[in-house]
Amino acid sequence: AASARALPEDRQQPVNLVADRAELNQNTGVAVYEGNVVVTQGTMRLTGDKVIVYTKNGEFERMESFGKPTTFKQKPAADKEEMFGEALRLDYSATTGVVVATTKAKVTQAKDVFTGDRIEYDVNKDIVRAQGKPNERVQIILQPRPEGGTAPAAPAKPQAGTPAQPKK
Amino acid sequence: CGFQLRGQANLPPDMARTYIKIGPGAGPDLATGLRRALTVNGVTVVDDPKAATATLEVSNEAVRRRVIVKGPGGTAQEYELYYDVTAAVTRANGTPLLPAETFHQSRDLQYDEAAVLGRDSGEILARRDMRQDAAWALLRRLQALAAQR
Amino acid sequence: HGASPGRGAGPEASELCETDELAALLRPDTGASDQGPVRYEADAAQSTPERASLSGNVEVNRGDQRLLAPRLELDRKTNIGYATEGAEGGTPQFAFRAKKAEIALDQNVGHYDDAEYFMGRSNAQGSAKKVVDDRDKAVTDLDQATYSTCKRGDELWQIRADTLKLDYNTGRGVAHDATVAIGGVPVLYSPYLSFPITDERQSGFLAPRLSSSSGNGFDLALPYYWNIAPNQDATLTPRVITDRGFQLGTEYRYLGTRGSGEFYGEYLPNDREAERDRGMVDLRARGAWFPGLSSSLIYDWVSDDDYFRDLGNQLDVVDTAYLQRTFDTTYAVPFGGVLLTRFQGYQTLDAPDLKRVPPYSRLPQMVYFGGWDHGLLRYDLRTEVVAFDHPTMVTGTRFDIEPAVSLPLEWSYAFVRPRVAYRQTQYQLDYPGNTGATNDTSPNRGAPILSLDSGLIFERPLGFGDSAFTQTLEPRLYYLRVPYRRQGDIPVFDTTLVNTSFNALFYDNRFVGTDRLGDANQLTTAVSTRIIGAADGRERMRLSLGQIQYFEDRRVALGADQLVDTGSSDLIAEGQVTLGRDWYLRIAAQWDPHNEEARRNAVDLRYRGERGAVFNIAYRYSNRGDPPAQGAPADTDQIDFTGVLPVNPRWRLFGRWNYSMLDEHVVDTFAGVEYSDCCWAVRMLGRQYRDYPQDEEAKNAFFLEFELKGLSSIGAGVDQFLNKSILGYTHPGSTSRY
Repeated sequence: AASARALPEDRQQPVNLVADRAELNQNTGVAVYEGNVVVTQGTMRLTGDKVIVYTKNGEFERMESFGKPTTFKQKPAADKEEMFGEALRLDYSATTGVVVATTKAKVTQAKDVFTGDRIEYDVNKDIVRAQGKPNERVQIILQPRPEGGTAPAAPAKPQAGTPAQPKK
Repeated sequence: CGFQLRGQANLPPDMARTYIKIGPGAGPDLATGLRRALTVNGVTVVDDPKAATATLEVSNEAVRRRVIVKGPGGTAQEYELYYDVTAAVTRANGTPLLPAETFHQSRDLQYDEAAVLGRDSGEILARRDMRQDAAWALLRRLQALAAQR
Repeated sequence: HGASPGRGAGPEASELCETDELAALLRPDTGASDQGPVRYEADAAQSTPERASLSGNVEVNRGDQRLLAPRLELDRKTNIGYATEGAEGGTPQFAFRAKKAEIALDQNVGHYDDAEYFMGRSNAQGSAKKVVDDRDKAVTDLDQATYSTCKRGDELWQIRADTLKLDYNTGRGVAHDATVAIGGVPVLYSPYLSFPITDERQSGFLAPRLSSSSGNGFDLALPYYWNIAPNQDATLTPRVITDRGFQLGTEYRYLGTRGSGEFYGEYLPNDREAERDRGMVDLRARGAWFPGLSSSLIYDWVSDDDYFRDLGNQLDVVDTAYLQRTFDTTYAVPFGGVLLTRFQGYQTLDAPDLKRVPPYSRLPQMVYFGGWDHGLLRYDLRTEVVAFDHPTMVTGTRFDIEPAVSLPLEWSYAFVRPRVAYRQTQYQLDYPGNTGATNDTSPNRGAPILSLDSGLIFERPLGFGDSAFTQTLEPRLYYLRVPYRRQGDIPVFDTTLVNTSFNALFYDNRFVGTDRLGDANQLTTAVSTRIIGAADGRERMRLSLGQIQYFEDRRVALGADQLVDTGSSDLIAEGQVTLGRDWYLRIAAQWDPHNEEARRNAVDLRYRGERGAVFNIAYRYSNRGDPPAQGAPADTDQIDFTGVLPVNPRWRLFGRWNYSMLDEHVVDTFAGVEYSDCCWAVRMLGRQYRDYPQDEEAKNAFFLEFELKGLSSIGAGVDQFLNKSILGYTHPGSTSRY
């Protein structure tokens, strides 16, 4: 089946960041935000205590987020339900559209719940890969399908975004 | 030597209005015996289960025989008659007052082997006596439960 | 009151069988629903909307079901999980280990290939090419399957079947194209085989009974059970008797909502010993036509007088020489009381040296008895019309009516019950042959019956050790007055002496039946004492003593009038005591003060121990006196020891020693041993008995019974005999009430 593309609009949406403190390093293109950090881009929304954003020639490339837990939410495609993720650490690559949640990771996708030590969620291909460790195995709860296959998701409404303005 | 006339022995208050339900395998005359015993002890026996504060259900009345002595004619001359009946009392709200319990009685009957018809009528009398004893034992159980309140 | 209900049964299956390796896979039955979410666990997982694949100790939990597999591929569209590298799992009833497994989550059905399985409740194990376990229907179908309750790999008996259906709703297993192998050797092929798969005592099939005895030679019975429908079943018992021939026994049972019935029949064409065809029928049925109106039927027939002695496989104690045919209909009359209509006759079996007089038939008898309370008064009515028929003796119709009114006054500490009744009996007789001239063909008898029953109840607290009891003292007086009426010319149809007992001291007639109304002017004085648990109200001990003082001589007797001028009756004592949960003692004594000798003594001692240990002593002495009281049973002086001794979980010994001091020899004695293993048991029993206690010659019999546990019918042959002969005997794994 064609892999579901992330909502194209997300990639073009402006990234909006809010945090208590920010530290920008122009030449490395690395910005560190700390304290109630909220990052939004289209349907994607990430929160965390500390977020490091990597940009390359002005283009948002990837970010690492830490928190107790740091959370992630996105609507992978118009006809898909929202996907939620949380862990002590999240790595989100805008280019590959892959989110990696490590340590006490939990990902919820269309009412199925995955928990484990490391969970990878490929937004574009809509694939979840989970990895456990000896005393913390991967746990999955799959809701029994109501009669007649997967439930169609409600059509998504594009979100109006505001331009990202780093706040001092 | 310490004996005095027996004091008032009442039944559990929840049995103020009791409905007697004849369960599977129980005969009507057991119910009439119980009806008398309950009425004498201050309980009104009601015929409508919905108006009752408690339901006394009797079921599985069973009589079994076992040969004890074989007579010179090769057949039973003395046998033991076993009588069982199960009784349970549940309050109107469904909670058990007396969980289902089986009451046993037994009698020895000796008959001349040829007295076949006489033996049957004798059994009817023995069965009636055992029913009365079983009803009496049930009452004593209920009175003990009430006394414990 | 029998001994406290049986405690501790015979050896449990669990003690005798090693736990099967798959038993650990059984899940606890928490009653959790299968409809909830399915929980997966794995070392690693990858999931897309179409497909999820889990690897590394995969565990799937759903309600009370669990599956374990190294890998699981889940097709999210069809919601089917594939465990291709082996799987094991379990539900509360069924555990398995298979090379391949498919779980269809939506249909809640598991498909397992090349599986081994174990069933918790019937302790059965086996293997199968293909298993389809349908949790919603609670049915498991197996192809090319084996089934046995023996240890895996060491099956003494095993069923190999083309298909095997285990139905937990009916608790039965059904095998098609089945072969039963014993010790690995196929013993029997059958297109259809049904057996119980739960632990309830259900009849199965194939409990071969082998016995030998003088007169029959070797006797092999092979019962075969056919479960026709949930409410019907049948057992066919082909039986080979070397000295006589081939016999077929059939038992059919039906249980409907409004009625039920059992038919048992045996047929032995041309018995070589007796040179004739022989057979028997025992039919019982009962049904409710509509609430308040029900009928019951008992019909017994046997082809000849010696049938039971020759063919009752020596195990059935012949407890009657009169085979009953009774059709009763009981009708609860709307305005109160019950009307019983009875058609009754007998087939009378003569003994070799005893020609028995057939009893009267009741064609029909209609009895109505009712009771009404009106304020403090109580009205009772008993009325009966019966037509007696007899091949040789006088026949006739009897009409009897007895209205009564009583004033039962009762308090917690006393009771007073005056009662006044009048009994009127009328006959219409037909004397056979020429004796009609001298006899009164329409005698009648009417007499009032006056009685006053009264008693007091005293109580006092009593302490034994730390438990509190209440002891009662219950004096009782019962006065009875019935004027004399001449009855010598009334034939005796259904009347005999009442059974002397403590209760009988308070009867209003010393005869049982209607043809004699005892004249009476007497006072019964009696006292009882009971010890009752204060907390539970259960009686632990009862002792009663009573005697009748006669103010006038009695004249009415069973035959012609017979003057009896003793001033008082025998002294009657009855007592019973339950000691703890194990011991029960009962005594009954009847002492004749005039001749200063005991009329009757009876002692029963019963012990119920752990693990089904049983020990009973029954001593009976009766002496009718000289001249013997008419209608009283024959003199007796015998003692009867019976017991079951569980040596250890595998071995049990049984025994009986019933010795008659009067005849100075043993009336019935047997000794038996039972070895019971995990899935089979064998019982051997040797018996020496006399059909008639006074016989000089004793007969010997030997029995061997081989039981395939979980497969064969329970309660066949030896087991049934022990159940009848030893009070409190329990089949291994069940509990008795006595």
